[in-house]
Amino acid sequence: MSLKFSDKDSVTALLRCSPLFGLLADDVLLDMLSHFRRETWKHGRCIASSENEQRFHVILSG
Amino acid sequence: MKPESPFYADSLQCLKASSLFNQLDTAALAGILKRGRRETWKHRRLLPMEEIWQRFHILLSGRVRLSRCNPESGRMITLFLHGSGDGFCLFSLLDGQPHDVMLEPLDDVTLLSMPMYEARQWIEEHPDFNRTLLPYIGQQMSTLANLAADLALHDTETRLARLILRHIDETSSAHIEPTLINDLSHESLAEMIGSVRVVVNRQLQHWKQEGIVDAHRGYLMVEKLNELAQRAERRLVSLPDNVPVIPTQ
Repeated sequence: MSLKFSDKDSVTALLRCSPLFGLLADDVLLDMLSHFRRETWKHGRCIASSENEQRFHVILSG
Repeated sequence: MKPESPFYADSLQCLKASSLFNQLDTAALAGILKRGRRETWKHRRLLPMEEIWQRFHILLSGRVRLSRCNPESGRMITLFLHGSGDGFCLFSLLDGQPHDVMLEPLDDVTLLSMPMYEARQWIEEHPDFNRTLLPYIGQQMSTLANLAADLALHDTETRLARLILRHIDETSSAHIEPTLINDLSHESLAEMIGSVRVVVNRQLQHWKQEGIVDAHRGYLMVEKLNELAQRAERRLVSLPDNVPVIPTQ
């Protein structure tokens, strides 16, 4: 399993470069991250919208 | 618009009836009316986009379509068809950029319009409005996604059936008149599904012979909703889960 973006600092650094989240203050970013969980999806995995639509996703890599 | 305007009461009533604005209290609606000016656009009037995109518009009556055209082939695709209570130039409201669309009133229409910066300022002053605005924008994005998927994945019959279903109340009984599109020409219907007049005309005549719709010039009525849903390859919200919808061959 990839350890990329497995720590809070690297995720925060990535989001600071994001056009969507880059303008948020650090405390807002950290608060936002506290509501998220990290997931990994395998290449080629088919994800049903019914499984997906109840959660908001931010792509860290891929 | 000033409260003394003879159009003020009607405009306020229209905002109260709009799904986009009906959660707002009267004071907030008064703020919109104060910033807005009332406009009337004639049916088929050509609208200069360089002026239009700098203002946010709320339709009070009539219909406006937003479309794109290939100037070489003359082919047109309708991206949005807006009716009373709808707001438009939403993308420019969000990103402050002009967008490559043509605006055409399909009726004589009345609108409220206000400069984009004032619309943004009003939204900043009324953050609760985002609870309604964001789902509304989501619906608009979903409309575009449905259009793109239909164009890429389905034949003309399916696309036409889906277009009609999107404009009717599926929980109603038989003999349903679609809203917004019921009196459009076959050419205008074709431009909503990426087809041409003769194909839409032939399809409607075919369905008419099968008793699925009743259609003639400027008139469209759905007679057999379940049949139309089968042509759309989808399930009606009112059908129980164990009723299969069989795609046509």
